[in-house]
Amino acid sequence: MLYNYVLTAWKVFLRRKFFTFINLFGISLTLAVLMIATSMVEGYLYPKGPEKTSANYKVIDRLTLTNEKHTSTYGGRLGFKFIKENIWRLTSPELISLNSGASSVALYQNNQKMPKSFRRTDANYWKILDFKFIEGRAFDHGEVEQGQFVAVINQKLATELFGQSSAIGKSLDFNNQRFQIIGVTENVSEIERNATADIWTPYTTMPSTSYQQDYQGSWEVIVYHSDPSMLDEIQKEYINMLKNDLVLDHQDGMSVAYSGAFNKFENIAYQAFSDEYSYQSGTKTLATVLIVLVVVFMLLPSINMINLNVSRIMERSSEIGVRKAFGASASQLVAQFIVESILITLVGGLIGILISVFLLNLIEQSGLIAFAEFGMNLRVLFIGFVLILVFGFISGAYPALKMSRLNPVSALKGGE
Amino acid sequence: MLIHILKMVWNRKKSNALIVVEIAIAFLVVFSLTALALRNYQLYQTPLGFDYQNMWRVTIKPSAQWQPERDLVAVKQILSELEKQPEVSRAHLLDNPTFLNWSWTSSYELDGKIIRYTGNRFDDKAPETFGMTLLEGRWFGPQDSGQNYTPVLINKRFVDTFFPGENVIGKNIAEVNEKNPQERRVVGVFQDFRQMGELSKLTPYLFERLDIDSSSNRPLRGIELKMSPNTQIIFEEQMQKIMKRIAPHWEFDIQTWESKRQTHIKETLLPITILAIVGCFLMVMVAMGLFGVLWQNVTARTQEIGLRRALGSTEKQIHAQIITELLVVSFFGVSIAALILVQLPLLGVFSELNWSLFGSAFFIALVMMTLLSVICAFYPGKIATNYSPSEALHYE
Repeated sequence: MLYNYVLTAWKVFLRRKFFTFINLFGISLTLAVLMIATSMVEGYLYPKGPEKTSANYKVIDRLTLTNEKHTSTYGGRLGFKFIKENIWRLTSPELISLNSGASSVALYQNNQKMPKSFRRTDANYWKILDFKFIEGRAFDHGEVEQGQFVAVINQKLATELFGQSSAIGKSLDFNNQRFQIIGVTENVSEIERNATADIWTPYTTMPSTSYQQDYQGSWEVIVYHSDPSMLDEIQKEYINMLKNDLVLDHQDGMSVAYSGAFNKFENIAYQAFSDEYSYQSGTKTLATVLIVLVVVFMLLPSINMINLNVSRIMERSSEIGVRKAFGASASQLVAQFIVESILITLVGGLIGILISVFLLNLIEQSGLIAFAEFGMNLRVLFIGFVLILVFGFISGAYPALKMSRLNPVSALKGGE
Repeated sequence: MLIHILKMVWNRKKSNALIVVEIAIAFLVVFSLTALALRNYQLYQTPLGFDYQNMWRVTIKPSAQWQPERDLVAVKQILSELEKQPEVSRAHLLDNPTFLNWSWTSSYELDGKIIRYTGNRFDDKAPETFGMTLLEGRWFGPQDSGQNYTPVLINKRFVDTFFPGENVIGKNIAEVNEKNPQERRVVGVFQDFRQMGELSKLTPYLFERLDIDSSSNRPLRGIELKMSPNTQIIFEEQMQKIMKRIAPHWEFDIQTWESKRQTHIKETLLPITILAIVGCFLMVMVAMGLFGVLWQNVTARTQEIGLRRALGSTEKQIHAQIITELLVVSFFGVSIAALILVQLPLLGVFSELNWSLFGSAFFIALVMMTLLSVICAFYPGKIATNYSPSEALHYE
């Protein structure tokens, strides 16, 4: 039966090639746009680089400090003192790591300025995030404790500075400090916000120790547990601590803190929708907004296809008349036309996937997002497939219903 | 003629309804993109209010909380050391840098109005070096030191928005019932200072005076340098060394205004470009869809067209009929879209979307949709004229 439907569909597609082309054009480009968006979101939510352990950690990188009446408010990243007095007291995480966030720094070589990004961090950072070392190693607890001037750099910088020769043991000067290179890692995509940098050094190499007195600063914290289901416990413990057991001896009378430990999806939601006096991330709002956006974007191509298909009913009226006369039920006809519509959407979808692979390659090569790699993987393909089915169903259902309702007699005569 | 066509469109209302919806949505897309593009073009045409040539920014990144007694000395020393360099012609203090989304906004109530503005601080000589234009009053000067008022400079938009037609020089614009009532006296009005660049919003802007000798506890955040022309980028390294020698506990970020400006323009235009490409693709798709539908309809209406030909309609009249029909359908689609769109300026959803922008964007979008309809209907209309009456009447 299905074979017959497919055969009929194929014949119909070939009969009016121009209409098939219009349909395919709309479907493939719509799906290409959606696939590119999906694969970028996927690249962010499920990183392939050092952050591939992201299911096991949450990040605390926002802090709102305020007073009872909210008349004076600080919103930003965390200060070292806040981390030391509060976050380090958390008992549920297996590992807690802090880092300074990536900041820009200039290296000068051969009368050229090389803008680089640079991050100060601790030894746990290397345990939580899964960096691939090309040579050398990361710094350990001892080196961080002693404030040793050691640095890990990425492959691109190593090649720029030393060419093919080994970078280990060489020295690196910036910010008027001299570091010894002990490790070279792979390049990390800029989309992995907590991992990306060109240079990593122990946080204890700060030129002054006065950062230790600040509640507000530029630090971010990663809390890790080997069991992903424990992450919610960490969030609960953290919020409970902020509400009931906060240590905050702030000079400006700030006594209330809002913050949260978030995974990647929660983090976008928090940035986009949460108000500053809240512990919640607003993931529901974000999910709703995303779904609405996708539906709205698919609306115009769908209506376009429905329009086209409805106007082509006449073309097939004699076929429908014959089938009805020979006893085909309305539901059988509906099924047939939906199969047809899904079939053409599938073909269009495949073209769309090819287009999106091509465009994603272009985006990667453009260097818009440094070291980004958006491959197609099974998850993205699956989402694409679901989108194709939904799209095919939406654009096929209404015309199919209309076709199945044709009066067999008038259909055979070729009228409405 | 038009009434007749309206009747025909109405008779086919069921199949036309979907086309109307499609055109309405397409019009919403075209309108949004046009409005966005026009808005950005307007912004780009509005003068910046300052010169960015040969300007460099040094952002101070303190690694710890600001300690005025220690840190102000360091900044003073850095300023004087830098000015000694032959490459540097002037050095000034400015808190929030140009061309970056780094701003300080403030709002308070005065005479029943919410005064909302973007603020910044600079030193007395800075506006002249930045090439800013003074419209009324004066810049800050030594006469402002040790006074019982806080002097402020505001831009023309500040005056036009909150005190239209008033002479604001000498006016106290402080919040009335503040705990410590300190007079904020307007000493001058300048043309503009569009801190965040050519494509940023136009906002009321206010400068406070930054006097390093009587500075408060607020940290100083950046130094702006006017360089002599043709200074090489590599001079940065030397600057870093000089500044690090004076303040080893700080980090410094050096950028030219020109490079920040390029980044700002690129980052603002990128999403707009992506939207425009997606929008164009949607339009091509709609155009091909309409074209296909019309073609199909014309084929289905062969008999009707044949009858009209037999009764003496010329080819031209048939052609015009097909095109006018689609235009009438488009008109309904656009009207529905217009009913939705007019809510935006009425409800003030986007403060940027004023009536004049709305009008011009609507007009351009209307022209584009009309053109699109005519182009889509042209070829199907042509086909319709090719039917000879006898052939058409025989068609079954």
